[in-house]
Amino acid sequence: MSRPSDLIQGTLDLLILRTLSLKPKHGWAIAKRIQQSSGEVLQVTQGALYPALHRLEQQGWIRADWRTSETGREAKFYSLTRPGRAQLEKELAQWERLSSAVGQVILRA
Amino acid sequence: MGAPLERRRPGDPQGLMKDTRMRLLRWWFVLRQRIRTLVRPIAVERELDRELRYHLEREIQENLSRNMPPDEARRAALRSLDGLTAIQEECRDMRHVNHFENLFQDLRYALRAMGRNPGFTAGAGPGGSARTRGSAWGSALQPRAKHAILRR
Repeated sequence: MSRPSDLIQGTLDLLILRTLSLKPKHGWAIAKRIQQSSGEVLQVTQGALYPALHRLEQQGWIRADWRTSETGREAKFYSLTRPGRAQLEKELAQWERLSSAVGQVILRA
Repeated sequence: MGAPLERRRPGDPQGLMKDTRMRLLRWWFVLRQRIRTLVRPIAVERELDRELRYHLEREIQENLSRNMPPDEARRAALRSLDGLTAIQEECRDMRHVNHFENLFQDLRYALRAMGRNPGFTAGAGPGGSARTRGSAWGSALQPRAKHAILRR
């Protein structure tokens, strides 16, 4: 996920929003979380992650504040805004529709 | 033109109101971000620096915890942040993409829908003025051509 195409970019947005839906995280933790929960298959590079975070923040889906991290240092934590949470619901529904449609084609075509 | 959209939920004024509230709230977050970038560019820039530096430190720590020698731990972390300047540049670009245009369209739709709904006749007035401002601001804040692909 280094140079995101449109498809990958949309997917990365979804993964970020989902990762933040449980609790606020800083960039490093978001990348680690995605890596771990994908069984080490998805590696989100910084070059894809940080521009995506800044874009989502500009779009009002997430907001950021500085908090003390688990290492005792100040880090920029991102959290979902209420509109962001609503957007996540929409994107999850879209994703399910899309993946089931692709599944159908693979099965029947 | 926008008629099919507005008729999406004919019998659901509460859903419409929730939708409108979300749009306004989002609009507020975007506006706040935009203003901050314009008014405090140095603070925004410093934060970007701190943010990426924090990431670098965590990478180094992780490498050290894998028993990598300090020198190599640092080098490997820097390698993983390959193209730091490019990342910073891209983050900066994200701040200057025009997210307003879509939002104004959104807001216009919301206010107009409220105006059409019998329960919200008072909304028709503000809808009109938002329409005028929307187009003026929208054209003043056109994104640069190379960002066109990032607009949603």
